[in-house]
Amino acid sequence: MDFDAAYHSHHPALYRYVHRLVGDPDLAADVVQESFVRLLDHPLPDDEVRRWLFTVATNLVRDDARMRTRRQRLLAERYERSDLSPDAAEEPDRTAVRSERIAAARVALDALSERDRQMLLMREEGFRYAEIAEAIDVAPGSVGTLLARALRRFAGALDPAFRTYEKEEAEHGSDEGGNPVDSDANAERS
Amino acid sequence: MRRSDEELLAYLDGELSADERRSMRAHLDASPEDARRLDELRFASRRVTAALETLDVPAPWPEMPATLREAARNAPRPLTSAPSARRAARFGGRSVVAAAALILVLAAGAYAVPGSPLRDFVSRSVSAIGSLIGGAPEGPADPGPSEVAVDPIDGRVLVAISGPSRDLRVTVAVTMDERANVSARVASFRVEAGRIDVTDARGDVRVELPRSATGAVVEVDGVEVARLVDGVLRLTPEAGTGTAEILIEPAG
Repeated sequence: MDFDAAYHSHHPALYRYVHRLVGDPDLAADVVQESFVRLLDHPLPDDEVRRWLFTVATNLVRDDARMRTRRQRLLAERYERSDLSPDAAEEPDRTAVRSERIAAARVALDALSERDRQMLLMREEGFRYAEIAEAIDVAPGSVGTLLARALRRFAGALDPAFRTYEKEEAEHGSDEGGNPVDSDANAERS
Repeated sequence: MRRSDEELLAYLDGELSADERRSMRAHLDASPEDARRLDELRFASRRVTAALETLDVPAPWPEMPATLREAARNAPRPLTSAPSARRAARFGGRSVVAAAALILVLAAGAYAVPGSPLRDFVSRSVSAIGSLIGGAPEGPADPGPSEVAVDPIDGRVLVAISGPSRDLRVTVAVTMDERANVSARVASFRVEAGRIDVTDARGDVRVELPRSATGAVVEVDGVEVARLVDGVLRLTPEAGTGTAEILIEPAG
């Protein structure tokens, strides 16, 4: 295992995953660094490093009471910030729209159970169901069911902050039949 | 027969075998209702991705932090016997800086007593802490966000900065803190008694000098660019001669 190469290959995605999970840039940086420090004690074949790092980071977040406390505080602050007045919510300013979307995304994500959040975020990083099952410690056969439910819950909770986005997508990204453009590329992922 | 969300998502995520995919395609051709549900899931998936991307911020430390690089370099195969280096990496910058500050307080005391037997010990400790912060002197330049602080010795402190001048902007300020403080996102640090060396600095470097210092000097590439005397901070005439940008922050 080339530690330098592992760092450069996996650091951006691991940070993105952990930051989405905990919602705090500094905390995410600490978790990512700790994960890499632990990797020093676990020389692994290259093809196992990525899943191992994500598993360790997930466990660090899950097991650290300090993080939970900090997350709860951040969550409370975020709820307060997301309580936009109607006037503010209708303000066409792009910054306001973006802030609203960020708040909506965070609130929707934090409304999921910890396990569903971890699974959804690992799916976003392209992990296979078997890898997710191992990292999150759930039965492999239940990953699809749990993911489908989490996906629908999360997407449903995003309304209405992403309505504008979807209108833009419908105008610029629709196929001829008016459906969102998305090829079956994922279906060929295997 | 109606397919479950789980099956549809597994198809979308490429989790089905080739045979299962063929079967699913045939089913979707024959079942407009399930084809519509697949589109819903696909759309939900895109919505989730778009929403999560709004949360993203740039990852810090695209280059490995100095402490982690040092731990990796010191970790022999199998990577199990470099506990001190790993502890240093785990502690991160602030804890190391706190340790450095403690040692430097001792250093000030030891230096104040001529002939003190602690003097050599403290000097070695200061050097060791400096190495811990800045990495081994023979090692490569290690960028990383960090800050260091040092107590003045006999009221004097020196901050010596070097780096690619065209990429360097140094802001000097005076604070009520008792210590001199330097922070930079990309730099290596070495701390000695009454002195901070900042090497391979890029981008913004912030230097805070203690107002209580009787004499504090900031050098860039060996040239004195700012001096604090009796609480008054001034740029030197040489400050404008280099390519590094030197700024003085007005007293708050």
